Amino acid sequence: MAGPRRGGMGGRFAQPQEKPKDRKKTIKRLLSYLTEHRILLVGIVMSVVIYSGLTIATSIFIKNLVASLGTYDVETKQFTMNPNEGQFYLYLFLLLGTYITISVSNYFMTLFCSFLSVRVVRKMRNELFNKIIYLPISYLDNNSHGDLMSRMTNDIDNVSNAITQSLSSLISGVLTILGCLGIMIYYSPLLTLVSFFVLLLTLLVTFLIGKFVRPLFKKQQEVLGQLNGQTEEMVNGFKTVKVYNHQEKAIDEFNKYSDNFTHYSIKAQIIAGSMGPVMNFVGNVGYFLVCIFGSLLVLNHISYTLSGQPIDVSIVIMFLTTTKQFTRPINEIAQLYSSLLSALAGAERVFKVLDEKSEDFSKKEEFPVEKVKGNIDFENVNFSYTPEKKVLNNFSIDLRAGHKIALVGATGSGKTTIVNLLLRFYDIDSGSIKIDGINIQNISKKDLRDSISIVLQDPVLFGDSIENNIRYGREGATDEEIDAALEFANCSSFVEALPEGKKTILNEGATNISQGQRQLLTIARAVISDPKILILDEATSSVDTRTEKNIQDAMVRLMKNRTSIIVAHRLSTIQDADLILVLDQGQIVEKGNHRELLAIDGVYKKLYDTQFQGLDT
Amino acid sequence: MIKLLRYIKKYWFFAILAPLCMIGEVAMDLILAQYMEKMVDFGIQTSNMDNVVKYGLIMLAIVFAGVILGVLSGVFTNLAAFNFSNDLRKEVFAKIMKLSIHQSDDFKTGSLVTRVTNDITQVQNMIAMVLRGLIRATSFFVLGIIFTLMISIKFGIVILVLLPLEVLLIVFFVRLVFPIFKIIQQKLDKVNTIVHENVSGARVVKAFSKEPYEYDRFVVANNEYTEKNLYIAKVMAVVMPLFTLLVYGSQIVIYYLGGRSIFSAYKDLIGLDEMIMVGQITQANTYIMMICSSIVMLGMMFAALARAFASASRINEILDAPVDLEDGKEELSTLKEEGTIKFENVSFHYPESEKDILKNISFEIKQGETIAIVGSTGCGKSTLVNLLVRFYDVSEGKILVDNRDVRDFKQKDLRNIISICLQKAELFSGSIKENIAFGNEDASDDEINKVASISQAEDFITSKPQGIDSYVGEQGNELSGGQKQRVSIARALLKKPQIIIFDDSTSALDLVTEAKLHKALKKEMPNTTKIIIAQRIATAKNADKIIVLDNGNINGFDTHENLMKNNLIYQDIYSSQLKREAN
Repeated sequence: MAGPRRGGMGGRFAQPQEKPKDRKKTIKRLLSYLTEHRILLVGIVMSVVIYSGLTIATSIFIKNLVASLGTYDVETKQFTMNPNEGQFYLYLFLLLGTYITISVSNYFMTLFCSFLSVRVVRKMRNELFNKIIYLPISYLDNNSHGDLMSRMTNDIDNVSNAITQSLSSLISGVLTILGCLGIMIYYSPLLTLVSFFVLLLTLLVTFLIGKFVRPLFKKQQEVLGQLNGQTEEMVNGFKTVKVYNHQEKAIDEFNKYSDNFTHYSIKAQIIAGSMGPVMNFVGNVGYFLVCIFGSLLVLNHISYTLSGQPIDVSIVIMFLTTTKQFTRPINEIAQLYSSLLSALAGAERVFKVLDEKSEDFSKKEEFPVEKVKGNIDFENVNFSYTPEKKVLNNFSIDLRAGHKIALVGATGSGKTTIVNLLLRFYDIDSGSIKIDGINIQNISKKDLRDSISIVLQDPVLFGDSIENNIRYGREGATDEEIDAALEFANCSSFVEALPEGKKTILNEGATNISQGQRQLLTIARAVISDPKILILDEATSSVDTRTEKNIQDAMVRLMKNRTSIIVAHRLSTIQDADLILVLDQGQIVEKGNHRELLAIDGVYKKLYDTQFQGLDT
Repeated sequence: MIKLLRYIKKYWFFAILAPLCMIGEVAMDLILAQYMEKMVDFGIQTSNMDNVVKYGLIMLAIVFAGVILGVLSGVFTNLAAFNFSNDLRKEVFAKIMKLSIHQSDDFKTGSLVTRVTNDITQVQNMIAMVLRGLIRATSFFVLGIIFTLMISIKFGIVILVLLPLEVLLIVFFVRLVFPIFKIIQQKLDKVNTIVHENVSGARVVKAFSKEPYEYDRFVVANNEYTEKNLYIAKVMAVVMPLFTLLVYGSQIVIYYLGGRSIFSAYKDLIGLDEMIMVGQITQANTYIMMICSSIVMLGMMFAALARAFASASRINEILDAPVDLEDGKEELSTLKEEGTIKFENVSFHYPESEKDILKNISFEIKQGETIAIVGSTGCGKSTLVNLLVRFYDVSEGKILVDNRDVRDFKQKDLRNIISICLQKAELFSGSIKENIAFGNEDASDDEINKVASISQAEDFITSKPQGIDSYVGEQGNELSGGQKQRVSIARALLKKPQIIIFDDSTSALDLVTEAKLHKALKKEMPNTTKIIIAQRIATAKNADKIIVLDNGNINGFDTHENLMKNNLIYQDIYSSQLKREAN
């Protein structure tokens, strides 16, 4: 093929260069993943050595093969050097054998690299996932989920690509360069200089075009981001756009972004696209130079091989090939460099998560779940998410087993925080929380959480069947138990109406059922786990009030001898609670049962009045 | 696909020049190979310096012409492809903006975004590919064969054997690997879903102590994904070397054939003109490699073409979507501005379903009245107001605003008269001020502050360091639910509508704030007709009249007091919210 192969549409410039911070450490750690697979590594190195060695050897064989065909002078119609048939067939067979061996070693090289990459990456993924599930909630609350996801996907993919593609290319590239260089120097140090010049030219052109095009691509990406962002906003807010007659303005804006994007894209792509032809040009100029200088050297008998023979025509022809063979890997390595960098940066980001502290599941005291009664004490608890803002301030409550306790208060008053602390999603700053007199800091988080069930406002369901989602509460629950739980949570009617009943697979985000129905399912899931302590955090906020009432009544029967904690906006759900705690800014401002609190005529009474009598509007 | 090509008409000049230049470049490449041969055979081999320089200069000229043509073809291709996609993209976006709410729901927002972004890029790439790559590969292929045969018919045999083998290999590869790609995507989705579920549902996983279970689930999914990847890698590992082996093999055959011809010429001393020269052999090898790689290129391109065609048909779906809400013809100036609403025997069902969501609804609202609508989820409350602003059209009956059928209005006018605050407050990235002024860019600061105060947004706005200029984040994500709702209410008020609708748009406000809001509304906008869809009885009970919807029927339309006396459903809703007190 004439000249180097054309690059893609400038793809190599497209990704922004991302640089790892502590390169050495990351490389070392990444290598430790590789060195676990010693045999594979040895296999890779061996096959690459054979592959590159033989690839270089072929240029010598071809040179000898061509030489054995003799030299024919067209003008005198005479062979100036006679062809040698024996030598020709010898080299032809050698070439054939070499090619077969090259292909075989190529097969093993690719195979081993894939094995290695797949194993390393699978392990990294598993490790990362294992880390993620044991990360403390505080990490997940404070870090972007999208970012965490992208570590699992993009970053690990970068590592995988680097291992599959770069590893063998790198080794074989270096070997090929060294080999070619060796051969070239052996046959003609002078002509090697010419090849070197060609190489420099290639690198220079790559560098220059890259320098031009990189900022353009960056700009293109940026403008594309704006374009996509605008599209997404306008389409997501479609109704609003329509209601406010904003279509024309949106179209104008879109056209502006689109024109802008087109402008930069054309610029960037034209320059990146000229890469191919220009490299082709450089390659051919190199070809020309080798021809001219080669012929000059041959004619004037200037250059000698290292073994002292004058160089001949076949050597010049060989140089035509080796010059190309030698420039290509250098170019490749230059490109690999950026993919290696992003792989290292990716690995670094993965390692960073792996180095996060996991939740501590150790225990100092036994806490047998079956024996939990459900007495909960908060004693002088202080807690803050960020040092500046205290959420709980010297907070003490004393909840008796078997009671129904309600937490009421405005947003930000600390209701959900109490749930977070009780399950040890967060740990308190000072004071103590005790269940049945045992400090929860001293018991294993697993035991603690096994004894408590929660239902959250935002219902989390998994992409599995309804049945299995309920079974999440207790593995090994029988079909009858599941039916009973569904019945309990008023789910039976809508579940039966689904085409596949409780075998229906909930799609991601469970959009095939309504928010209220999702809440009901999470209640069923909590109920089946048969908890000693049940926490409902705004668990029925999207359920209509009549259904809610049914569930409330059932709940009373179920929770007879257990402790339940209910966080609610709607006061109707909590009027029969044994104890209602009114929270305000991390403090209990009022406590008592419904009747007592009404009698106080304070915050609760006011809340109650607005909710039930309606305000005078 | 063909349909979309009309967008390239404007750029036909570029679209014709691009392939022409490309063919020129390819021709230069191939001619170059001929001179390379001459260079070897008549220059280097014979050590004829004059020839070396002569051919060398010719080669340089050819190469130079090649690079110019190559760059030009790139320029023209990009001009054609990007301008084409720019026009197409604008057209698609403008069309999306014309779609009805119903149509946009049918397309799903995510899919609409992909069509504007990915699908158009796919088609654009395809145009670029056809203009350059396809032409290039085909010319290489055709010219390569011609030039090879010109050197020696004998080499034709090599091509004859090589081509079918190569095609066979590609087909084999495609058949083996392509179906797997789809499976890989599914397996990858599975892996990502599990991670996503565990990240966003971490509290539940932890609360149920399901970490080991989730880990096992992940390992299984990860293994399945890995297995499929490995399978592809294995096939690649076999196919790629086989492929190069084919090329190498034909190279050897060409050496063999060429060599034999030279030897026989040497032995028999026959007509040397028929002899294949050394340079020609090298040249033939170059051509063979060109032919081989052009086939690979073609194969890849056809795969890409298939994808682009799928994209093109998705784009056409949007462009071909009929306008399903015709604009009315009534001029705004002929309308009286009142704010009365009248439903006459209105029924509604979605076009694709038989089930009536609203059945024979009739009622009347006078100017300045406050009407609340209550009823359980799915009873048709939102549908009722959606019909009023013509998100959908009625199936039967008619809706009159100011005594005119809503279908006679221009949609733009109708939506200026009626403001609706949606259940989900949709905000846009920008400042709070920009969001309030959305669709009302000329509003003065005073007007904006005024509506912010009515909507009870003033307190939280002033508490922010940058006040009303605070950035709300993408889709308003930096504000809380209640804050978003208040900004969206302010936005609706700024339009100074005759009719304002609150579609459950105060659900995240606490009751005190909500009560203040309604009080302010009553005071500041006494003549504006207000429709409030509410979950809470407390919100509804102070309205002038309350509509009780049940299963698409009006079950009651009266004041709170009267409904309490004679409407069973209303009483039931009331008592479910007030239950224990009633006991």
